[in-house]
Amino acid sequence: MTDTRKKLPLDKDILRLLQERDQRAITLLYEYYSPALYNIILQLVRTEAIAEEVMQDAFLKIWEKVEQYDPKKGRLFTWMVRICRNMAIDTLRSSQFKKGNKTDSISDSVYNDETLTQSPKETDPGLRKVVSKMDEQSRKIIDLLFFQDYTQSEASELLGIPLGTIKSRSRKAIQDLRAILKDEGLASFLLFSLIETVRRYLGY
Amino acid sequence: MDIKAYISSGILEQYVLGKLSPQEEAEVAQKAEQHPEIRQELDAIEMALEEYALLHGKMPPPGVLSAILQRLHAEQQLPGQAPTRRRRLLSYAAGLLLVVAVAGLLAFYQKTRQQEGVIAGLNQQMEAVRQSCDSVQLVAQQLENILDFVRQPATRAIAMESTGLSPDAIATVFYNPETQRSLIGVGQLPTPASDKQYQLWAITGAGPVSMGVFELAAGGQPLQEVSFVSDAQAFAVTLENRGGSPAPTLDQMYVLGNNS
Repeated sequence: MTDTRKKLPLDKDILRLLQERDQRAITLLYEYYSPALYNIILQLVRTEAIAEEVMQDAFLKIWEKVEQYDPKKGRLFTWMVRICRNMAIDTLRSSQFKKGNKTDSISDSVYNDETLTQSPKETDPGLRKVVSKMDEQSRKIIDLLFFQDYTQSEASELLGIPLGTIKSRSRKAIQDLRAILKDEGLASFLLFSLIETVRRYLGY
Repeated sequence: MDIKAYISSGILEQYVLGKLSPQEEAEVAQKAEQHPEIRQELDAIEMALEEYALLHGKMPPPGVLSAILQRLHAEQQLPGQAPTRRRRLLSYAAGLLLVVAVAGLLAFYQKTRQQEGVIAGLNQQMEAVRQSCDSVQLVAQQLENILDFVRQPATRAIAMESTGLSPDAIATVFYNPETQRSLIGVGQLPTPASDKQYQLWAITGAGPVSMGVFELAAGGQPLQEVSFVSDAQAFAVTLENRGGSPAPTLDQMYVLGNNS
C-alpha cells in the first residue's frame, strides 16, 4: 500500500500547482487537508475563532513558503502540520498563554473534559473503529505528542512513565496504529478520496 | 550501522513528530537519504499519522477558505500594485518633464525671438554703418577727386576778396583751362535770404558770363563744381534772385578776384 501511494502523483500534482503559483492548489489542499489541520490547530488553541485565524495564516504561509518544502525530507502533510502547529503556538504565546497553564490544566481540559476527544468519535465511524482497536496508552501518547504537541518529558510527566521509555512507547503506539489502519483498509479509502478530489479539480 | 536497531529505536517516530533537536533532525534526514529502508519507514510513519489526523478531521467553519483566497488575491495584487504606483509616478514624472520641456521650449523660443530682434537691430545698425561708410567713401572719393584737380599743375587758385559789402567775405575759384574745369570754394559769405542765391561770374573780354549759382553748404564738400568759362580775366560773386540772373547785379557784388 505504501508503494501504491508513493507512486501516485497526487502530492506532486498539488506541489506542482503550488510551485506554479496556481491558486487552485490552495483550494485543493484546503478541501482535502483542512479538517485534519483545523483539528490539530483547534486542539492547541482551544478557541474556534483563534483556530480560524491561525488556519488562514497557516495556509497563506504554506503558499508563501512552498519553496522551502523539500519532498526528500518528508511528506507535504507533515510539513503543513508543522507550519500549523508553529503558528498555533506562536499565537498562543502572543496571547499570553503560558506553557505552565498547558501542563496544569491538561488533566482538566483534555482528559477529564471529554468533549475534544469524544466528539470526532461520535461523528466518524471510521475513527471510532480505529480508536476502539487501539489500547488506551497508545492513543494517549499519540494524542499528547502529535495533537497536543507535548515534549517527551512533558508526556512522561503526565503519563507517569519514565522519559527513557517514551521513545519506545511512541514507536509501539504508531506501529499499532499502522497495523490497525492497514487492517481497516482505511488508508486506501482516504487515498481514493484524495485522488477523487484532485481529479475533480484538475479535470483529469 | 545497524539499520534495524536504528529504526526500532523510535527516533524516526520522534523525527516525524518533530520532537528532535535540529542536529538530531539533520542526522536523521541524512541517514534517510543514505538508507532507503529508513526513508521507507519514515514514509510509513508519516502516512499513519497523516491518516490518523485525517480521521480526526473537524470541518472548519464555512468562510475560512474564501477568506484565505481573498487574502491570497489581495497579496498577489500587491506586487501588481507596485508597478501601478510606479507607473503613476512615472506618468507624473513624464507630465512634469513635458511641462518643463514646454516651458524650456517657450523660453528658448522667447530668447530666440529676442535674439532675432537683437540680430535685426544689429543688421540695421550694420546697414546704417555700411551706408554711412559708403557715403564717407563717396565723400572721400569726391575729396580725392577735388584734391587731384587742385594738385594739377594747370589748376590755378584765384582768391576773390571782399568788395566791402561784407568785410569778412572771401571765396576762391580753382580754374584749369587745360581740362576746362572750374570749382568754387566758399571761405566766408553771409547767409542769404531764402529767395536769394549767390551767382559766380567770369569777367571776359565780352563782359560778365555766368558760371552758375551755388549754395553755401554744399553737402559737406569744400568745393563745388561750376560751369567753365574760357578766357576769364576775373571772377566775381553777386547775390541774385534764386535761380540766377542773366546779368550781374553789381551793387550786390560781395567778392572779386583777378585771374592773372
